[in-house]
Amino acid sequence: MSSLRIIWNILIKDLRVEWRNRETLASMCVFGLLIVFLFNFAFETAREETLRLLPSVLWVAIAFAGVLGFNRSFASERENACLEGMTLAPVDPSTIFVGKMLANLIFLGIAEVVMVFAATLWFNVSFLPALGQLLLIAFFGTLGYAALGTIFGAIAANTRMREVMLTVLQFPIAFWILMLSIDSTGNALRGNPQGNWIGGIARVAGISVVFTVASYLLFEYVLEE
Amino acid sequence: MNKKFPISLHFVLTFIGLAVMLYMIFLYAPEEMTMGEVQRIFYVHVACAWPALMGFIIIFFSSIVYLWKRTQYADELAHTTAEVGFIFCTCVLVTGPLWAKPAWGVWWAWDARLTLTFLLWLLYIAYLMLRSYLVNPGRAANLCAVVGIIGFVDVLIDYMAIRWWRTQHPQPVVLGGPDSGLDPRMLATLLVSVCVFTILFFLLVRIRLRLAGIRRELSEIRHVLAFKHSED
Amino acid sequence: MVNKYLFLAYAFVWLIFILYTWNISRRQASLKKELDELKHRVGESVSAPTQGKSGY
Repeated sequence: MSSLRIIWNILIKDLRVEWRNRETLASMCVFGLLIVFLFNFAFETAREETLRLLPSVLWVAIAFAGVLGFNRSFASERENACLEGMTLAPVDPSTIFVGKMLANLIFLGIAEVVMVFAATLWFNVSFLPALGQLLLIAFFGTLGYAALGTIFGAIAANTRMREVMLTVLQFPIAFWILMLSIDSTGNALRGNPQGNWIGGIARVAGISVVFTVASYLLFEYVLEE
Repeated sequence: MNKKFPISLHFVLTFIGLAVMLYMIFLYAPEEMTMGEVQRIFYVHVACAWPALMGFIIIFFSSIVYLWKRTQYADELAHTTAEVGFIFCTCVLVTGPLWAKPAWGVWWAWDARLTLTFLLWLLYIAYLMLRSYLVNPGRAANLCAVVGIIGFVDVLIDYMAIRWWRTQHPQPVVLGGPDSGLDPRMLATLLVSVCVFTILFFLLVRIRLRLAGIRRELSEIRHVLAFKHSED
Repeated sequence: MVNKYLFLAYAFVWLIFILYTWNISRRQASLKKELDELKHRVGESVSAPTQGKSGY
């Protein structure tokens, strides 16, 4: 079997499991919505402030909803010793990583769409004028975040108190992905007062790619007995 | 290494170094014009910062060596360095605000170096927490090595990203560059403090490594005993 | 009168190092206790001299 085929199978398996019980995705979306709702209600912002606060609110919501999903990603594999089964299968461990990461990326992407839709309504901001840029930022920011979340989720699944462990690992290391994404999102929403929007996205993309490659290369040691 | 440079000699050297360092900091170095004697915090602050950073570099290399050669010593070294590095990093974070308050008027400002140190501190905490929370000790070394390597990649990214982040951050206050006008006696004191704290760092690492060695031998002895019992 | 910030900074640094050294020595003591226990048990259960590591 080619590795693309294996990645595809793992991805489809995750999506199918999710389709049957809808646990992970539902909890991510509801949790993200709640965070956006709480901030929207608490701040009651004026227009100027909204554009300053909204990117932070959205990315914080994405960060927390993501951690929720990454936790499930490998915890569910451990429950019926599915992880051992996958490890024993004669496949390259890195393909398992890519498959799981893509599944996480898709779940978080769907949750982001829901959160952004809610934010459009409640904060009364249109994302359409800068949609292209925002899609790029969201893609690269989520890619790096999901890659780190996938490998740390696999690591944290080996610990007591894995929810805490994942958070403690994820936030300091994904710190700059989040911060630079917030920065670029704010610039894009304000219509790039400083011009140069490519630079901001390139930085997010660069960091995300570095972390994705590092996680991809190191993943085989995580599964090794 | 132990044969050539016994730990007792290392101990004596550290003590002499500390004495010389204290003399230079409080009696030899001149008083700073604007900040006064508070500036003397600077020496111990920077002297702790360097080993804190070096600690993560050592974790990175020993993690790679562990994943490559599977030597248990490399894993013990990484764990030990994380603990000692965390202690030094904590010292930086304690002395930082104590210097910032009289110098800048606030306890904490998210200036570039403080942010970096804080992120480094969080990384140390994450690494040490992972060590203590792992259920299966057999896999501990692998998982910690992975986190050690990704953590170091993150330290490198921190150094780049802090420059990109909202560029109005103040430039480093004291060591701006070669022409920052640091008195040569101050510079000498700073260099001596950094050297002495580096020696202290390695002394603590060696003491802590010895502990890890005893623990490993103990578990080996237990293993042999259990084996003997099952044979009987 | 020494500046209080200067005093506090040095006091904290010394305190942190002393506490850490104390922590290491405590862990070493507990290991030594464990080792003594083990030695004691080996002494009473195994009659033949074992080729163990000694010298602590």
